Amino acid sequence: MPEQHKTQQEAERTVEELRKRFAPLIQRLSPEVEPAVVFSCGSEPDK
Amino acid sequence: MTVRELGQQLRSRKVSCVELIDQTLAALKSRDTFRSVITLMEESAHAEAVERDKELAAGVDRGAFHGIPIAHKDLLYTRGVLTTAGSLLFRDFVPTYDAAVVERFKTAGAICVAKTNLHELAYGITSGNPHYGAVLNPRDTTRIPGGSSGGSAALVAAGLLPMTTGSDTGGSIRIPASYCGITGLKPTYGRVSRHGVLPLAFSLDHVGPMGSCVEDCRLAMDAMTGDRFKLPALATLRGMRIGVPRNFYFERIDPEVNTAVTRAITEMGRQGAAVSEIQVPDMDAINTAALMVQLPEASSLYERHTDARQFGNDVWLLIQQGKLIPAHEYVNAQRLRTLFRQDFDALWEKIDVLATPTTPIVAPGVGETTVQIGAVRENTRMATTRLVRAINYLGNPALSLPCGKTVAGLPVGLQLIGAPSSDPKLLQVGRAVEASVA
Repeated sequence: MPEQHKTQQEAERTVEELRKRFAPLIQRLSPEVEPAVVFSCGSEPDK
Repeated sequence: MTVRELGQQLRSRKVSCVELIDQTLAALKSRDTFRSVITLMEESAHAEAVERDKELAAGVDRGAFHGIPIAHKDLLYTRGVLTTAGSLLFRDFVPTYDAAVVERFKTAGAICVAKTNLHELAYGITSGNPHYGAVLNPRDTTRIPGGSSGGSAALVAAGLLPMTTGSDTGGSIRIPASYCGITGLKPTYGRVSRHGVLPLAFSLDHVGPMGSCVEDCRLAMDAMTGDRFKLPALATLRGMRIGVPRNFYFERIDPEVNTAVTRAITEMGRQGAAVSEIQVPDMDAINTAALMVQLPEASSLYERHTDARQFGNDVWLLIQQGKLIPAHEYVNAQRLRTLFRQDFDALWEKIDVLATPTTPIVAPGVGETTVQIGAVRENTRMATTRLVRAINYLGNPALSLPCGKTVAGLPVGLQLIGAPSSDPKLLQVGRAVEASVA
């Protein structure tokens, strides 16, 4: 249990730092910006 | 030996497919001291070799990979053959079908002799697998091969196989290619099928070839995608516009890496390319957004597994991290992707290829969790992925090829990045320079 608690704390600390770096980036996002997930290139990309 | 050289030997009957496969299997058993292999496929490989010999005797030639031994990273599904993904979760998993890439290589006549060791679940850069053994770097066995496709890279670097497959979610083909001194291509996102490949992060995963030279990677892309990569070899690089980033990529890198990559770029100029400095977008920001995508996508796959003992400590920690990213921030990271792609696409109006180091350092020592780069001590994983991760998020093709060695004899990787779908051109440029920069 102490080991799991330590892991959880480490995960929380790392993600907190990541989210702090990420927060300013969203200033660029206006409502019309949609998610980009895939390129459409090549045939049968996932078949 | 290269794929083409082995093919010539087979066609001139200097060696039969059966002899080649049996020699390869014997060498894997006696000389793979790098823990590169999880499963050897002796019986099926031998049986396929018998068939390939019969075909050649009957005048049936499937092309460049006819009878050529290859190995697949052990997260590509192979019908009837154990596919562990380097994880305890899949220690007994035997797929009922082949991944599309596996199937296409079979159709091209290649013979899979082994499934290669990797970083657990492809989620890390050391290939220090706690369940199937830590892969070692054949160039220096006190060092890591890089990951996650470490076994695939080690087999090529050791000269045991001419071609293997890898997958790349945050650099997992290019990093081991750089650290082991081989060639690896992360194709444009979607160019090579991911069907039957255990995912790590759906929108960042790529499958690609790892070989001893650019031409073999081109041949592999022919096989993997269905014959679209037949571009002529370039006599010179005249007319090619090479961009050299003035920001980010050459900041905080090992001086010997800088020297080797700069020399390779100079060579491209000598061959007629127009080399110019260029400002690239905010790659630190792109790396941050890429992590905001990767962490939750990967965690979504393993959320139902709650027993930490089933995972290595590093992988378990990353899975916990991904659960802490709120959904709206994940979606915003995917929305930012649209804008960052537009930023990056603007480069291709001015240049054809962006030339950078693949990794800021050469292969770190086994167990080295931090590395010193100039005045800064940096986490090894973050340093190793710093120059490659963003390109998974952007989806562009990126080739890593050897461009020299340090004084200690460790290989340095040159990364060539191109516009979306410019994979063939990237291979052309790589092929033109590889002989003079390796």
